Amino acid sequence: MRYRWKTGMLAWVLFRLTGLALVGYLAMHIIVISNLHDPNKFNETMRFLGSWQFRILELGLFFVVLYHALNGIRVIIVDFFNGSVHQAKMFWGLAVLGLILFIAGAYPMVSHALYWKDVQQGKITHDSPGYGMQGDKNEDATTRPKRTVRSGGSGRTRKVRGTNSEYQDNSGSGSGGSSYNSAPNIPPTNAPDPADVLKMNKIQTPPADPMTIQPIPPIPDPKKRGGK
Amino acid sequence: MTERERGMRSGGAFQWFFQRISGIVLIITLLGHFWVLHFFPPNHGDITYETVMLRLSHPLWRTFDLLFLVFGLYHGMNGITMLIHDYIRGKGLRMALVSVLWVAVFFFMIIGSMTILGLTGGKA
Repeated sequence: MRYRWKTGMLAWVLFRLTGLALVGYLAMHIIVISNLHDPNKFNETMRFLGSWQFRILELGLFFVVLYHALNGIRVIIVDFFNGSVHQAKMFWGLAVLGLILFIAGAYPMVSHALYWKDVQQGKITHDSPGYGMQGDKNEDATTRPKRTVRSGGSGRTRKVRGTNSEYQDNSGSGSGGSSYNSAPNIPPTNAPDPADVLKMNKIQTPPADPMTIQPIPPIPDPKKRGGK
Repeated sequence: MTERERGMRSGGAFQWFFQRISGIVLIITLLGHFWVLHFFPPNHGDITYETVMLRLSHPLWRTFDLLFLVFGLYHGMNGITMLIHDYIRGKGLRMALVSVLWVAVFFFMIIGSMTILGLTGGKA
């Protein structure tokens, strides 16, 4: 027996397919996020998953989730609120709403992705006015929070206990986290160039002169303990 | 299935009902999850270890994520159970697949809970 392809049939089939896809995605997501036990591995994974191919897949995921959620709302209205008479109209109405929500969500996602790509490629640095998403002109080294991975637990809890002032003060500025695409946010300092420091301390490696034979330092004899 | 067998079963009313309830909870938690990851200032979609740990060091977000995990796994498991019962006719194969599903869901629940509850802020 074959069913006719009507609105409700299409909605149901897509509902099942998106549900299955989402279960597969959930399994992958749980495994990927379990990388949080190791900071470097997590950042590396996120960098890998930030490439444009995965960004497109992320948009696809957003569409799948939106479809499944909106059709689920339609199912709930049909089941609990006597909506079966209106089910086809609801489908198309929610489709329009879904399109609007998709554009509303996809636009920031794409613009943020392009922004972080520019940061990675060095077109936007912490000096340029576009940094921080709003060109925060008051931002300088003193307001940007220090961020090291190794300071671990003590640094984190000190920041978030009480008010999340970081979220209120630096609203909109992208300096809150070091972008996974670029080097960490090291504020500019007045430290001298390392080459000048070497010259100042007169530590210089001798020029490699092929005419002079440098003596080879003696290899310590493993049989003798502690010195020659 | 005989009359006697049918009488001994519970009929799945709780699963039907709770699938809808967990769906509603998931819509709310998913909106929050998506918003905080992609739009919450100051990070705007920059997902790094630091930003995630900053959010997860607060117990509210940890609870939120744990709720998301539990309800999501329940909703997904119930859906897959429905698919198994709809499309697999043989009784033995059905029981085998449902058992595999239970083991898989346990596995993901353990991994997910370890991730959310076991974060030590980089001291690991």
